[in-house]
Amino acid sequence: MPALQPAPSVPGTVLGPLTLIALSLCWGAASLGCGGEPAPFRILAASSLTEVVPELTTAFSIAVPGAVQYSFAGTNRLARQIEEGAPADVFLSANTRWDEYLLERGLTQNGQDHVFAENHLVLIVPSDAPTDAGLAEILRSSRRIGLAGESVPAGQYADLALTEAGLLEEVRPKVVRGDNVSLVLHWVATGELGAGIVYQTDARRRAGEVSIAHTFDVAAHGPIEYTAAVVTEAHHLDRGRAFLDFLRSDEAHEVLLRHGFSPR
Amino acid sequence: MVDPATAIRLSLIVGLLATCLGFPVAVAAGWLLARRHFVGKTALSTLLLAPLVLPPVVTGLLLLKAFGARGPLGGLDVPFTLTAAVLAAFTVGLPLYIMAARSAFEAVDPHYEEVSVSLGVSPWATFRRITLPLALPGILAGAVLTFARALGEFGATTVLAGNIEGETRTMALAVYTLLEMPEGEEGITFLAWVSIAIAFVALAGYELTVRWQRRRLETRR
Repeated sequence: MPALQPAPSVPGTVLGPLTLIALSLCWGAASLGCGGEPAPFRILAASSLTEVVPELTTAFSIAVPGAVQYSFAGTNRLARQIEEGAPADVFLSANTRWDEYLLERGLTQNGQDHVFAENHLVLIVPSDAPTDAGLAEILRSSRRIGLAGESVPAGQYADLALTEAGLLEEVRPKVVRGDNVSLVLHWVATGELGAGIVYQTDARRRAGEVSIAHTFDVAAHGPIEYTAAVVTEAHHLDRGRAFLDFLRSDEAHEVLLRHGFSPR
Repeated sequence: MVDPATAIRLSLIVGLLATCLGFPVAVAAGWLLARRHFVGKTALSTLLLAPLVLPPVVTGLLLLKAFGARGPLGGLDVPFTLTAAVLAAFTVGLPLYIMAARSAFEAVDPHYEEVSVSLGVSPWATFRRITLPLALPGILAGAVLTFARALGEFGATTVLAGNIEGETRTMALAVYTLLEMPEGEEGITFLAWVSIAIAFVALAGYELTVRWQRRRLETRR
């Protein structure tokens, strides 16, 4: 702000305690930021796993106790974070490409079968709209269509699926790119958009507000596979491996199924 | 898919429109807050300044609630258009604009206005010919800040306006999109340099207007 008037002089008696308070606040904030405790077990997971990972880790913590932290973002950003050396133990990716990218560079490790779940791509419409018109007709009659960004897996799968259906060029002018799948889901759920393409698991999250009008064939976009890997520089390598094993347990499969994933 | 030049053009359009549209609002609200005492003044100033404190994504969601298809202003058909990007930038920039205008008006000695009115000049003419010109540099400093804030706007824009190439994909959104593409490096570097250049020009403009305001008030004293 422009200092247009001389500031009223603050009496020294007030200034002293004020400075003290300010300083102690800063110190408090700083000490909150860097406590001396050991690093927590950190899971970096793709945005589409936001709801299922807390449940998985709760079940896992019963078997292997200890604090767990998770952070969610687009798979691509998580991969970049790991590449830049962000502290993490487990990486749950929403596509195999980024998983392989890190694997090739030795930044993550995993076993042979690192795919732990599968998802499907669906066309959703607001729940008050008809769902039986068919893919092409729904896309043609919607004024705008929501897709995830062209750089996040959900957006790339959607582009592939629409290309395969021969509809991409036709609908391109109507496409609104959401920052991530959740934003597309929000737009359709609130009736902003007549249609959107999201994961099946997302559609289930707001089942009352959106309906699934079409499920894309896996052949159209390739399998949507979730992979798990332990970060090479992890603080908790053993716990990370235990978590990967846990993902194959019946208990984990039950949680995944409940959220609409197909466990593998 | 991502054209940096288009993004720069869109950003400049959004920034300029938000700044121009904000001018009358900032002048009216700034003057009201500086010169008048009325019931609900605190409530009004809180409402107007809230976007400064709210996370921009929340501001975007609130705007989407108001202007969305099922919102009270849904008939205006704002979301996912250039208008939406301007509205988002306007809303998040307005607090800075109003605060600058308010302190600019507060710095004008009310004595001048009293003398003018006592000499038979109407209050409106007094405002136009005395108060506004004296406060103008300070208000323009606010305009520069608003413009700068508009260029950086991201959160409210993604929610209300989406990320549409050639329509709402401004510089900040373009950088964000490029960041996630393996081949985006070149575009990011270019846009980063342009942003830095614009930031320097804007801040220099801010500094100049602030000095202008100070000089103007000194010479009149």
